[in-house]
Amino acid sequence: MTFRQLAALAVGIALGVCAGAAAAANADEPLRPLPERLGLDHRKVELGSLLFVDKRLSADGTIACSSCHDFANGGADPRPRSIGIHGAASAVNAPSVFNSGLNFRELWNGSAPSLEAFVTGVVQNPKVFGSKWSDVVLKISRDPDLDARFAALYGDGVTRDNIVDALATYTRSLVTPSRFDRYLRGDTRAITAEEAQGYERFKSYGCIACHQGVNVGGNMYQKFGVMGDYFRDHGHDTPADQGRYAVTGRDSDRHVFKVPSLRNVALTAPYFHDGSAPTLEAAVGVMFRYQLGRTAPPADMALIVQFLKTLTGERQPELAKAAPGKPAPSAVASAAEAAGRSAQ
Amino acid sequence: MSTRITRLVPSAVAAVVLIGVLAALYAKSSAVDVEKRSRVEGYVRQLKQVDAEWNVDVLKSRMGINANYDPLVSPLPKLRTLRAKLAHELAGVTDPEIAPALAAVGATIDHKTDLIERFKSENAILRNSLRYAPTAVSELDARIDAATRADPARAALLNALGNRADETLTGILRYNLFPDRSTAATLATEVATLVPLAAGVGDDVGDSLTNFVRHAQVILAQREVGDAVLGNILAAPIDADADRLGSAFDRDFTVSLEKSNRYRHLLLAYASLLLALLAYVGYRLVRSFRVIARVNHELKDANESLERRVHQRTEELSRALDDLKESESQLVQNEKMASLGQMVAGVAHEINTPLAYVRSSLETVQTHFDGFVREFVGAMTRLVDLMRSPETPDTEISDQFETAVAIRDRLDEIPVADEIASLLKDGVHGVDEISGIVVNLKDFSRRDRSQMSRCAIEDCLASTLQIAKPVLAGRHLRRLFAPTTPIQCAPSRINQIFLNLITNAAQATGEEGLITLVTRMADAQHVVVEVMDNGSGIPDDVLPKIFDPFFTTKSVGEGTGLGLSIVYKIVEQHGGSIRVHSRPGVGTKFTVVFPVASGESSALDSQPVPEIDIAA
Repeated sequence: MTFRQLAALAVGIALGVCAGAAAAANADEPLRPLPERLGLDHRKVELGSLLFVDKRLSADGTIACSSCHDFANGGADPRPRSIGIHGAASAVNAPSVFNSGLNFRELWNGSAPSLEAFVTGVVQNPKVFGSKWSDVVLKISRDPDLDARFAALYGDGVTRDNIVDALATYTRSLVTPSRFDRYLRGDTRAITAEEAQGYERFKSYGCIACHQGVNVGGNMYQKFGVMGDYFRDHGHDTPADQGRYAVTGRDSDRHVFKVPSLRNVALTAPYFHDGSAPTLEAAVGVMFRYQLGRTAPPADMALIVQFLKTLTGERQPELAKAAPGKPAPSAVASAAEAAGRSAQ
Repeated sequence: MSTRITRLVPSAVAAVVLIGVLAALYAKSSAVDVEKRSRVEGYVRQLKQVDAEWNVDVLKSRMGINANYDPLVSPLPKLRTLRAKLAHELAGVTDPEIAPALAAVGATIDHKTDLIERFKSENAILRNSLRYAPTAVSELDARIDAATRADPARAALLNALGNRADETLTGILRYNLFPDRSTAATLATEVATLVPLAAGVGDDVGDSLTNFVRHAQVILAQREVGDAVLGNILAAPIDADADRLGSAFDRDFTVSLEKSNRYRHLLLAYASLLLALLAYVGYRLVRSFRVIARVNHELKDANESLERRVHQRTEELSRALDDLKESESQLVQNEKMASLGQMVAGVAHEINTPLAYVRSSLETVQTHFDGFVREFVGAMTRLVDLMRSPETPDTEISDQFETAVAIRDRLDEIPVADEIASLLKDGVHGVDEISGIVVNLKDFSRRDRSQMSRCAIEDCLASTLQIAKPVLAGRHLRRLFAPTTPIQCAPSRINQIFLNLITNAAQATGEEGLITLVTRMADAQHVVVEVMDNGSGIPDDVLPKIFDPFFTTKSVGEGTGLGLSIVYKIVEQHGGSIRVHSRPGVGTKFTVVFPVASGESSALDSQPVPEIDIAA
C-alpha cells in the first residue's frame, strides 16, 4: 500500500506536527495555556469593574456593560439578541467578555481592532448605550468617588480615553484559567481520560484548524459555511450575516466571521453570531457539517463536547495584579495602542 | 518714577531683542534632534524586523511548523504601535517625500495584514481537507469492502473505483508537496471524472466518494489560491517601504543638519559679538562706578557746605526777621505819626481860634493898660510925690489933683476895669480850650496807653472824632449808636483803626459828603462798628488789594500804603474781623467786628441789630 505510506509521510511533512509525540511536547500543542501573569494595574482594574456595572454609560441610565455580558452565563448574553436602550435589539448575539482581551480583534466581523476601539464605539452605538461621550464624561465626573479615582490614576482626570482605558484594562483582567490550562501545563490528571480523548478528536477531526492558539480561536477569520451554504440552508441572509463583508465590501469576505474563542463555550449558549444553536451539541453538529464537511460518530461528537467543557474556567482576580515594581507589559502595549489610535 | 521707567524701556527692549536673537539662533542650531533620528531609525529597523519575523512565521504556518496562528497575530499590536510612533515622530518633518512614504508603509502593512488573514482562513481549510482526505479514502475503502462482501459481483467495478480514488489521493498529496500547474490541471480532470461515477455505485459508496471529491477539489483550489496569497504576502514590500521612509527621513535629517550647522556658526559669531558687547558694558560699568564714587564724594562735600550755608542763611534770616519786626513797629509808628501829622494841621487851626481871641483880649487889656491905667497911675504917683514934698506949692498940688480927678472921671466914663476883667476871663477860657485840645491829642497818641483795657467802643469813636474833626471839615456826620457791650482792647490802637477808616471816608467824599457811623451787636458775643460813606467807592480791581501792605492809590509821598494793612493787623490782634463792601459811585462800607470782653455776658439785647446798607 504505497499510497498509505506516502500519505502518512505527506501529512507528516505538510503539517509539520509531531502528532504522535507525548504530552511532554506541549510546546508544539496548537492550544496554549492562559498567561499566568497579566501585569495590569489593579487600581485601573478596580475602577473598570465599577464602570462595567455603571448604567450612566447609557443615555437613559438603563444599560450597563454587565446588562449583556452576564457573568453567570460565561460573560455572554443568554438571549439570542441583546437589548440596548429603548428596547433596541442587537443584530448579533453578544459573545463572552471573558478572555476577550486575547482576541486579535473584537466583534463578530472584527471591525474593532482593539478593546479600546470597541469600547469607544459601543458607548456611542445608538442601539446599545446611545450616549454622547461628552455626556458620559460629565456624568462620571459628577460622581465624587469615581472622579477621585480617575484623578488619582490619570493625570487629566475623567476623560473619554481614560474611561475607555479603565474599561479595557478591566476587560483584559477577565481571563478564566481552566482545568485544561493545567493539563496544557503538564498536569495530565487535570482532565479525565475521556476528555483527553475528546481533545484528540478535536484535533483529528480538524476543529483545531481554526480553533487554536491561546484563546482556542479568536485569532483569525473564517468563512461560515466552507463546505456548505449555511445561510441558504437556514433561510436567512441578513446584513449581519454578511460578516466581514460589511467592513471591507469585498465579495471574498462575504459570510466571513472572526473565529470565536471556545473558552467557557459550555456556558455561553446560544451559539454563533445569530444565536441559532441552542446547545453545544447542536453547535458542534453545525460545525462538522458546514466547516469540516464531514460527519462523525455520535460517540466522537460527545467526546469533543466533553473536551469543550474542560475549557470552562473561573475568573481569578489576583491575576490582574501587577507584580510590585515590575512594569506591566500588556498595560504598556495597551497604552501604546491607545497612543496609536489617537495618533491616527 | 515714571520718567525713570520710560528711560529704562529702550534698554529693556534692547536686552530682550538681544536675548531673543540668541534664543532663536540657539533653537535653530539645536533644531536637529539627533535622538529623534536614532528613534526613527530604531522604529524603521524594528518594523523591518517584525516584518521579517512575520514572513518566517507565515512560512512556518504554511509548513505546519507553527501549531497555531498566534505568532501571526502577535505582530499586529507591534505594527500598530510602530506606525503610531513613526507618525508621531514624523509629524513635523517637512520633507515632501515623508508623508507619501509613511502612507505607503501603512498601506502595505494593511495590505499584508489582509493577505495574512486570507492565508490563515485558506490554510485552515486546506489543512482540514488535507488531514481528512486520507480518512475519506479509508472510509470509501471500508464501504467498498462492505459492498463487495454484500455483492461480490460488483467487486471488480468497486475495487477499480477504490484504486482510482487511491491514485487520485496520491496524486493530490504529491501535488501538495510539489505543486505545479500541469499536475493541477491533470488532477482536476481526474477528480472531475470521479463525480459522475458516484451516481452509479449505490448510496453508501457514492456519498463517500462525493465527500472525497469535495475535499480533493478544496485541496486543489486552496493550494493554488494559498500559493498565490503566500507569494503576495512575501512580496508585500514592507521592508522596502520602510527603507524608503528611512532614507527620506535621513535626507531630511541631513538637510536640517546642514542648516543647523550654518546656524551654529551664526550663533558662534553672534555669541562672540555679545561677549564683546558684554566686555564693553563691563568696562563702561567699572568706569561709571568710579565716576559715581567721585560724584558721591563731591556730593557729600557739597552737602556739608550746603548745610553750613543753610545754617548761616538761617542766622541771617532770623536776624533779618528781627530787623523786619523792628522796622515793622517803626513803620506802624511812622504811619501813626503820619496820620498824626495830618491831624496837627487841623489841630493848629483849632488852636488858632482860641489863640486869636486870647491874643485880642490881651491886646485890648494892654491898650487899656498903656492908655488910661498908665496915665492914671502916673498922675496919682506925681500927686503923691507933690504932696509928700513940703516945698511944693499948693497950687501945684491942687492942679495935680485936678488932673487926677479929670483922669478918674474919664475912667468912670469908660468901665475899663470891668472890661479888663471880662477880657482876661475870655483869655483864660481860650487857654482852657487850647489845653483841652492838647490833652486830647496826648490821649490819642500816647503809646503807654496801648496796653489792654476794657472800654466801650463809643468812647473810642468819640475820642477819635475829636481828633478827626479837622479832617471831617464840612461833611455831615450821622451817628447810629445802639448800645454795645464793652470790648477788651488797646484803646490807642482801636482809635488808630477808627481814625484811619474815618479819614479814608472823609477823603473819599467831597465837602458835602455823608459819613455814617454805626455801632451794634452782631450777636451776644460780637460788637460791630460800621463806617460808611457815600463817596466815590473802591473800584473792583482795587478792592482785593486794599489790605495789602504798601498798596496805595495815593501819589508817592502822600500815603505810606500801610494804613489799611495796619488796620487789618490790629483787628486781627483783637480777635476781630474786618470786611469791606464797596460800590463805585455809591459808597463804601467797612464793617469791623470785635468779640466782647471775656466775662461780659451780654446783658444787652441779644437780638442782632440788622445791618444798614451803604446805600441807605
